[in-house]
Amino acid sequence: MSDSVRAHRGARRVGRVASEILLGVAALAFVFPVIFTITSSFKPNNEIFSQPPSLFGTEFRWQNYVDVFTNAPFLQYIVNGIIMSAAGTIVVLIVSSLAAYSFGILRWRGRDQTMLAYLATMMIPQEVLVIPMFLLMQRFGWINTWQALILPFAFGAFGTFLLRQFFTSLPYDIVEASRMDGCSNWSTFWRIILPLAKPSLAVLGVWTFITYWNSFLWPLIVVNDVHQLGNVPLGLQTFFGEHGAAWNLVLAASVISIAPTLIVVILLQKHLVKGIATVGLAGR
Amino acid sequence: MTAIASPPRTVAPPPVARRRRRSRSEARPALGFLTPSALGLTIFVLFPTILAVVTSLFHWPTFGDVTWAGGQNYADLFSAGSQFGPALVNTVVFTVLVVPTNLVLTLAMAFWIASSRYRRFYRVLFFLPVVTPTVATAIIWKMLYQPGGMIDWVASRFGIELPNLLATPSTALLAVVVVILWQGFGYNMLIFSAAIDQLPEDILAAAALDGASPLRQLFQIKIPLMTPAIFFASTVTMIQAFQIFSEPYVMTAGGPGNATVTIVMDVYQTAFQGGQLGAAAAPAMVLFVLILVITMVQWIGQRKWVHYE
Amino acid sequence: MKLKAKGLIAICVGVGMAAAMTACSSGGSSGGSNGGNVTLDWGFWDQGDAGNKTWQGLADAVHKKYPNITVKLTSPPFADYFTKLQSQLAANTTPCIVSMQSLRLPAFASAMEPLTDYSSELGFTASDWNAGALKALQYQGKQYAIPYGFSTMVMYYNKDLFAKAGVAEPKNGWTIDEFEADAKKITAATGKPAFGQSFSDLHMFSLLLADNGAVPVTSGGKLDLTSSTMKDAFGWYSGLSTSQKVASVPASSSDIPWGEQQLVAGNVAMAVDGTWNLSSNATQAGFKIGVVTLPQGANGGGTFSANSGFGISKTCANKKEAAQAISVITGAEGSATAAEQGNVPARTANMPLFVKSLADQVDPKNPGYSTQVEATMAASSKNAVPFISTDSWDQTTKAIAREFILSYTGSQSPAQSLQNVQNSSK
Repeated sequence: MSDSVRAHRGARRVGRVASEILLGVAALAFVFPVIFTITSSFKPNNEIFSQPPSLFGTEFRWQNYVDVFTNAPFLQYIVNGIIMSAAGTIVVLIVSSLAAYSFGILRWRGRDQTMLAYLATMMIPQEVLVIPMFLLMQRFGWINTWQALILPFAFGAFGTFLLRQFFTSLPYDIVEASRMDGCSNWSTFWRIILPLAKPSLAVLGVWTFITYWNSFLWPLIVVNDVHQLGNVPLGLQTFFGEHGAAWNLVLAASVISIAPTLIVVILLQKHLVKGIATVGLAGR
Repeated sequence: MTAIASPPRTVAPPPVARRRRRSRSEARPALGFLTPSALGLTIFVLFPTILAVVTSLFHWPTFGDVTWAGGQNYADLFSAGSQFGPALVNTVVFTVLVVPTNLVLTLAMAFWIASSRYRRFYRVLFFLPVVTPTVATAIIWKMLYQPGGMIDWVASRFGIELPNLLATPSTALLAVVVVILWQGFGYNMLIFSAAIDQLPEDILAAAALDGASPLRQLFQIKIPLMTPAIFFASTVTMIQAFQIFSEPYVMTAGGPGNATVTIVMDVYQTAFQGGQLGAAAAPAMVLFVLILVITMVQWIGQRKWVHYE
Repeated sequence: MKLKAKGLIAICVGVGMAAAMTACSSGGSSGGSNGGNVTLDWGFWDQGDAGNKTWQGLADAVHKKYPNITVKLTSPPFADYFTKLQSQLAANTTPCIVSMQSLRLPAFASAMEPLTDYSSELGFTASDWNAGALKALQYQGKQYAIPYGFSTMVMYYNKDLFAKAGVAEPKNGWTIDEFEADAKKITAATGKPAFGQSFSDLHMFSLLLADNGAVPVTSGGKLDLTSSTMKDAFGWYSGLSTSQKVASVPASSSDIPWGEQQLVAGNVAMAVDGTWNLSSNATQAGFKIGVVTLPQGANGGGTFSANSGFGISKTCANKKEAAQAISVITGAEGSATAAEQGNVPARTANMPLFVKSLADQVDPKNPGYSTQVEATMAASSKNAVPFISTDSWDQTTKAIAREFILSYTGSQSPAQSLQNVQNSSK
């Protein structure tokens, strides 16, 4: 190995190490507000806004995390959130994959225009749909029920669009082959397309779970019994009382509520990677 | 040295015309597969939407008499005391600031992470703001921004004196943009990070062999191959950017003055504080048309720059 | 084309159904009748776990007294109670028993039932009640809700910071000049602004009232921010931060309750807050808190009072039963329980109970607090006027937060801010 090559390799290594360190610093700076959230969640309530600002308070109040569960039925909110998000995710996955098969695999006149029309429904802000939706729930007698939390927003176009992108990136030969083997559309869908689609389903699953988990306005409007059906954002609001807020508990509760969604993301990260790439997105 | 061939430009998916023989027989199963989604969409999205459109033509208070307004709600948007003008301007400004910055930063970070050994860890790390509840984000960022807060403190170390960031009209919007970028960063970064992972090894190897510099590889091969991902992210991010509401609402409630009012904020306040559903639906409809037009432009324009295969 | 026709049909059907839905959107209010047995929904903002149990206890007490009535309590978060109320009104699912703040009554009065026809069910004797408390829940001369609490705005201060700056504690009846002098001394001594400004309507306007009698709303219920007294008073208030530099400015327009929070956090020495926080502020603060009446200017108007109460929604199907339920909830025993829990009572008889609860809770680490509270409350109630708002007050408060911050920071003249808010609330 010549000296110049060795020097070049050495320089490359230094460059890589430097890049890693810088990346670490950048990541740290980026995540700093989250770190601040976590450290602040251990402060007593009257020290949260103390000036000059400090990472830590005068004491490390683990009690905050206990109080979150005793001052409010927070565990219930987490459980409710999980139920709502899991159920909603399942509905979305089923409905969207079926529709995406229609938009992405089958061929029919007006298909792409209808896809655009579907997309158009994403362009209407939720804030203006909630009251008409609430009127609808009242008609159905669904106010303050699980189905009202899960179903109304389970038919959005986002999932269909995402899966359609993936389905169209699959080579059509697979479909033709399955047809020639005499498979019905349902078989093709269930036995061929869906297994291939697992990664993109994982992507959609995480997306949908997080969206349901973080939803606030609709649960606020449709839920009357917050303790029984409320999810985490709604539950967090109960810490803002008439006589001031329990900021420390809000922060502690927020930190706690990061856990379920983070677990979902970590578990599905494997699928996530492959999934997003093949959503017809990497030009392959 | 041969030039690197750029990938063939095709439109995806193949238009229906080519398969006319099949089209009729596939309409039936198509309807079958589409039914659950279409049914749900009709009941839960189309009806409320139509109702919202109808509402915008009436004076419709949350309690009290409903009277016909015709185009009055729309005309009122452009009247003297209306918030709609500033809201529209701010919404466009937010979008123009957020979308390109988001795309560039997430793309850049995705490439940076790709060169790291701890790629997977960083993906999850950058996702943390996404899963942090907005209420906590607002509390923490307000503490960072306030006079005497952390940002002020850091700036003073460098001798810079910062104005009251959230209380000064010229800086408030930018401050909120930073928070929006921070909170939404993880989504697109994840998409791009994965897309990079999936770049075809053979093409990259060929480019390296041909002696293309890393920079050239980046701009002439990697990014063009990722244009479908970029298109998807830009479409969705833009649609969402036009609907920005909760971040400015919890950070600055639209102030100071009108500096951070957005259209959806105007809709929300008119409906839930003013109790006027008709007057709230009108700006929402205008926003819808705006988003639709811009998305269609993007949709049509994709043939020019997006490389499908 | 086949699909295009399909689309058109879908739209027509959609419009038709939408029209049908709106035409017969009756629904009626919550609560069912079951051969004499009646279930009433009661909407009351979340009171915290312990608080909710107390009020649920009162709901159960209704059933004990009137076995045919069952009251179901729902507790939306306080911050979103009125947002939710709007959607309930739109869909006619308003609870029978509606909790209402005096501040918001003008906006919602037309959705509530005047209580004059139900005085026998309510067992209502005006003399049992604090007159101001009753008046605050009246609109255009009619009583719309029975109060459960009564509060005035007072000045809270940090005894420890006063001592540190060597400034004597303020006494009831002190003046604006004394307030300014104290603020200057404390700011100089501690290096931090002494007074916390606020956007909260009651907190800010009460100090303006105390300065020169300025009120934001005419007796006819119309917004008037451009009177010369208001301009002077608000000019003075903004000047506290811009020219006198003794006040801490809210960080953003979304920080509506600023000063009062900064006080409890120990960052400012004085802030205006309501007597509803007498208990919670004292227990939460990490220092000794004191209370005193608002400093008065030469033409000072005293202070504002505000409270909340329970009323009946117009769409309630069982108004008589609702009135009976309210009579129990706001009855003597109920009020006593609430007072013992630290809620300032609207029934005059329950005051001593409230003071005693403070003595037990706070006096050990803050000697003399309960006595001071008693004196201050008596003094401030003497010249307290109910705060009257407009029927679009919610939007006005949002506009206030957005515009006034520009004056607090000196970017916009006070007169201009007042004018802008006035214009936006047409």
